[in-house]
This record gives sequence, structure tokens and C-alpha cells, in this order.
Amino acid sequence: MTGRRSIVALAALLCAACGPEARSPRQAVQAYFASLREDPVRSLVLLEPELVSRAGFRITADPLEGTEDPKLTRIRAELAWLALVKMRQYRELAAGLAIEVLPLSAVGPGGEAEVTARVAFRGAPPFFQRFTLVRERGLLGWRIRSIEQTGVAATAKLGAFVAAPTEAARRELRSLGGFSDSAR
Amino acid sequence: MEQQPDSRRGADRRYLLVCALLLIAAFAARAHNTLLFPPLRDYDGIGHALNIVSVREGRIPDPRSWSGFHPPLYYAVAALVWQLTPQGLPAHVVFRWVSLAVGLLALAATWRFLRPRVGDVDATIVVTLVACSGVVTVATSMLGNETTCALFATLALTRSASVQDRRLRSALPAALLCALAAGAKATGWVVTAVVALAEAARRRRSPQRALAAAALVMGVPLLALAPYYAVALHGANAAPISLVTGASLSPDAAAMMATQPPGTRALDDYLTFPLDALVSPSIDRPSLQLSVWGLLYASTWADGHGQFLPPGNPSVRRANEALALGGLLPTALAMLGAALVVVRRQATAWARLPLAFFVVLLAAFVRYTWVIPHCSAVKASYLLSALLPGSIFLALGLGALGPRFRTVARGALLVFSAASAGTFWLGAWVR
Repeated sequence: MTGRRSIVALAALLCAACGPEARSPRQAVQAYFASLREDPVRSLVLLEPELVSRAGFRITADPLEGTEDPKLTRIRAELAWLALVKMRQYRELAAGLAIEVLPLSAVGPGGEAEVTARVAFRGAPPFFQRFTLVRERGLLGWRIRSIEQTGVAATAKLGAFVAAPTEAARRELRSLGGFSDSAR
Repeated sequence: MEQQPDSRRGADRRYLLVCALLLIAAFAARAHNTLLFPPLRDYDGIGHALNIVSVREGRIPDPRSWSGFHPPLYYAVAALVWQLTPQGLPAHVVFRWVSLAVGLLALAATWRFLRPRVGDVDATIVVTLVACSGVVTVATSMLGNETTCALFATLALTRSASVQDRRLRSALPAALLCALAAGAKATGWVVTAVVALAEAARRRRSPQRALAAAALVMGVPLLALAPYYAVALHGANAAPISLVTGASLSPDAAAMMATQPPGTRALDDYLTFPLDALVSPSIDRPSLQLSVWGLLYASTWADGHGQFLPPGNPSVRRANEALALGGLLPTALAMLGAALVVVRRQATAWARLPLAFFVVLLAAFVRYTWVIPHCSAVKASYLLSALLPGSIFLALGLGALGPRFRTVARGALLVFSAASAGTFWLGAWVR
């Protein structure tokens, strides 16, 4: 019986140390930045699907735009997210982010947590990135619901895009020659 | 029992030792490749990865997604292993390790089947060669469901080909293995159909038993996968057969494929074998874009699709070209072996079922490449489930050579295996 309990305890310990889910809001934010450098799939798991959809990426030129159902839109946004963050150029830029995750600032009545990170990139003035996170059911752990950036100087736009990519920022940077690769 | 002379036993031991060392080195290099190869550069990497994420979150992959039409077994296993691995390991590496481990098991099952039939040395040399070949190296270095289907296809075929028992219950293990193969990839349905016919043929003296055995082998995978197909088709607005073939379900995959040559297929594409397949095995060559067998050959022995090896490095390119040329020997041996299965029907009766599977799979491949007339449809990894028949043909071809030629061929195959393993390892380094 003791042996069986030990096995169960060991299995619980193993499960607690394993798996891609984040076990605290700060860990989720730290894991998010690490995943941008080297683990594209985990970055997807750390973000709520709606946030990925709002980033606005699409995997290919969209012949069905305006007519497709929301489920397909979500899938295409997720595929496009993976296609972007797997890119070598993107991952090299993400490796240049210097991150300081500040202490947990607030936990809302609905269980929402807010975590802020100070982000610096290649000598540009640092900016702040505030994350709102929620704890999902089961194995999904803490996930990022929204991201807000403040204090982004004109010279920090590339870093801001890398820290929280969106299609709008990518287009703007492409027109400025700052991020030439396509997310397709 | 015939006693082997000491000198021959010594030579056999040396062959086995060399094979063991080669396999250890090749798989260590491959495990290393899984770390070096860029994230999600794997064939359909983002599609497979999204399927794993979906299954982990309790959703069946949407068939309209990039690779969403694939059945979920590999994705479920990968999601489970991901859940049990420490957090520092990148997800794509974990998923590749699943492919690698499962591929290793498929090779082990092939070796286990071959040993008593062709002898320890030829079985081991052939499995070493196959393990080091370009197609297996790439498939076991990348994430994806090919090796999982290959494992269960191999196990189903070896089980059905080994059992003489005519009682109905003896068909159940093969039926379950067919269900697992079909649960990993639609190719599993080809295995299921062939094994069902084989189980029926074994019981042909009793039509009732024959029918029952075929129904059992077809019925178990159908029942096991019916819930999956019901959920996947619900809302996809597609015919069940489209879920099996994967054709035209994903608008994104279709749009991407539409940009690839040749765009249409002609009979000539199946009747030509350009020299480029041997000397310049690259998908960029117009002749290979057209020739189905040329590109299939190039992606069997070399990196014909240029997906794994860095195309810009001259040394790697030359090594890749050497592999394509070197692939002539194993190809010739395999063709000789296949011919022997047809000609020496009594002596190679044990190889009939794998041969039948190979023929049906090849026919399905021809149809697939005709219906989807684009380069990415001509990958040797689509025939990875033919691991067993391919290995049997190679072993029979090798065994048919006279003693002197066989010694030379064994040495040449091992040199080729070492060159292939080395090329794919160094190629990942210099990327």
C-alpha cells in the first residue's frame, strides 16, 4: 500500500514538473517570451485563441474572406501564428529581447491576473508590456488573454512587434523595411 | 544441422558488429538532428503541430485545417508525451522524438520478421540500410504521423503473414493493429483491406469463415474509428472519402499546392526516369518536377525535396548527389528481390502478403499523384508504410547473389548506409 502511495506521489510530482501549461501568471509571461525564441508551439498554448485571432495573421491569401466561419478563421490565425514565430528571422529577433518580468500586480475578482514586463530591444528605449491572464480549466493552466504595450518609442517599434506580433505592426514595419519577411 | 565454419561465423559477427555500431551512430545523430533542425520546418510542420495542440485541448482537428484530415492517433500520443516531458524541452523536439521512437520500433519489427527468413546477417544489413536511407532518416527526424502508421502497418502485416491458425479469433490481433494503422494515417485503410483479403484467403476452404475473418478485419477499424469520422465530418461539409484522401479539404493547403509544378499530370510523367534523379536530385530540376518515379527515387535515397539538407552548401549538395547515385545498388537489389517473389512463388510464399500490400499501395500512390499533380504529393515518405515489403525485396535480392558478389554488395550497402547517415547528420550541422 505504501509502495502504491509512493508511486502515486511520484506520478503527481512528475506531472507537476512537466507539461507545457504555466502554473502561475508570472511563469506564463516568462514562458511566453522564452517560447518566442525557441518553442513556437508552446507560444500558441500560452495564448488564448481569441488573442491569436485578434493578432490578425492569415496563413494564405484568403479567397473566402468574409464568408468563412469563425472556427475556420481561428484555425487559420493559429496556423499563421505558428508560421510567423517559427521563422528564423523572427526567432533571431526574439532572442534580442531583454525582459524583466515585474511582480504580479493585481488579481481581479474574476480570477484575472495582470503581469507587466519591461522590454528592451537593441538599445532602443525600453517599453512596458502588460499581460492580462486567466486560469483555464484542466491542463491548460494560465493563459494570456490580452497584451497592451505602453511607452513604445518610434525606435522601439521592431522590438514591440517582436514582443507582441500583429499583422498591422508587421505591415507597418514592412513598409519601413524593418521586417521584410512575410508571415505566410 | 549444418555447422558454419569458424571463419564464416567470425565474418558474420563482424557484419553484425558494424551494423550495430552504424545503427547506434545513426540514431544518436538523428536524436541530435531533432534538436538542430529548425522548429516546424518539418513536412507540414505547422499543420501537424496544430493538430497536437487541438487534441491536447480535447478537440478533434478540423478537417479543413492544413493537416486536419489526418486521424488522431499520432497526435494523441505526441500530446501525452508532451504532457509528461519537462517544461524546458521545446514541443517540436518532443514531437520529433515520438516519430523517432516509433520509427525505431517499426524497424525492429521488420528485423524480427526478416531474421528467421533470410538469416541474421542479411536481415541486419538490410534493416541498417533502410534505417539510414534518406526517406527513413528524414521521417524519423521530423514530427508527423508517417512513422506511426508505418509501425502498425508493419506489425499488422507481420502478424497476418506469420500466423497459420485458421480460427477466427487468430485474426483479431491483426484487426486491432489495422485499426491502429488506420488511426494514424489513411494509408492504414490500404493495410486493412489487404490484410482482410489475406485473412479471408487463408480460410478459403470455408467461405463462411473467410467472410467472417474479412468482416472482422474490416469491422474492427471501422468501429474503432467511426466516432472520430463522425465528429470530424460533422460541420466539415465533406464526403467521408475526402477525409480518407485529404483532397481539397483545406483551402490553405490547396492554395499552397496550386502554386507547385507541374500542375497537370500526363502519362509521360509515369514513363520517364530522368538522369537528374541520379546526378542532381533536387526538386528544382524541371525534369524531376515532371517525373513521378524520378522524384520518388530522389526522395527515397537523398533529400530530393530539399527540405532537410541545406541547399546552399556545396559539400552537402555533392554528398546528396552521391547518395542519389549510390541508391542505384539498393534499388537494383530491391527490384531483383521483388521479381523473385513473383517468380519463386513456393520458396517466397511468406512474402506474398507484403508484396500484395506493396502493389496496392503503389497503385494508390499513382492515383494520388495523378489526382494531386504537384511535387509535394510525390514524397517517398508517403510509401513509408511499405517498410516491410521494401526490406523483404532488398533482402531477397541480396540473398540471390553468388557468394562473392554478395560479399561485395554487403560491404557496398554498409558503406552507402554510413555515407547516408553521415550526410544527414552533417547536413543538419552546417545549416
